[in-house]
Amino acid sequence: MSDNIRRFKYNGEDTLSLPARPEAFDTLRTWLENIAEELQLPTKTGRHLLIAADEIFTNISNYGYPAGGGSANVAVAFNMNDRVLTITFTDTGVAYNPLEAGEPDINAPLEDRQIGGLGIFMVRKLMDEVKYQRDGDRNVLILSKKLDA
Amino acid sequence: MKISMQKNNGKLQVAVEGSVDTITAPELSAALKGAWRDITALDIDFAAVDYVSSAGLRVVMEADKYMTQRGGMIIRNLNSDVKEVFEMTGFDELLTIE
Repeated sequence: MSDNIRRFKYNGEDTLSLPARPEAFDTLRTWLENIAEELQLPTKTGRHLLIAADEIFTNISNYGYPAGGGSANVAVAFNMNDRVLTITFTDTGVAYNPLEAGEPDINAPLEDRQIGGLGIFMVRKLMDEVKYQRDGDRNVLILSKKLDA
Repeated sequence: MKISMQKNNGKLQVAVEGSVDTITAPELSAALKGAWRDITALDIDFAAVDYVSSAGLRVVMEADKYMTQRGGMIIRNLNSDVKEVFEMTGFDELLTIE
């Protein structure tokens, strides 16, 4: 495994800048799939990371820049010592902390369910930790997950 | 994503193929809304669906809500990856999945 980890670009870190538009998700998907392959992640883990990234990027592309334009920066880092994989999303759109959105009541009947909050609920389920920081004019959302040895 | 639809005696059968994500979910929503007037049963086959995000779940939720008063909806043939998404969000408990 260690040889494969060493191959990961830029010593375990890679970044991607994307236009904040839903169509750009295809680029993000391909990029993440390549990283998952390089790290030889189990298919299921790769899929979980992809779903989480999809939900966050969707929020940014749909709501981050109401006037249009704008971009999102995505960084993936893998720490070989503790085997923690981190995906950091940074954007300069509307200040928004998704963690402050109420959790959906997943036991409520479907017709009573609130539409919002479902995506971030999934992200929290799929990752070990989700942190939000406001850094100047930037939203920084950090998702992390400990990978199995 | 590909959608095929067939309507027989008030029953709308829909087969979806590919990914139901942010980009494609609105297409599925529009296709359903364009065809579901006057139906009494909705049957959606997900056998060829390999990916569903929350945007896809929203369309399913919207369809279930619409069909509640009209005879009901059945979702069929979720593959294990997609089923996991339904389970994670509790949708498997609330929908009729076969």
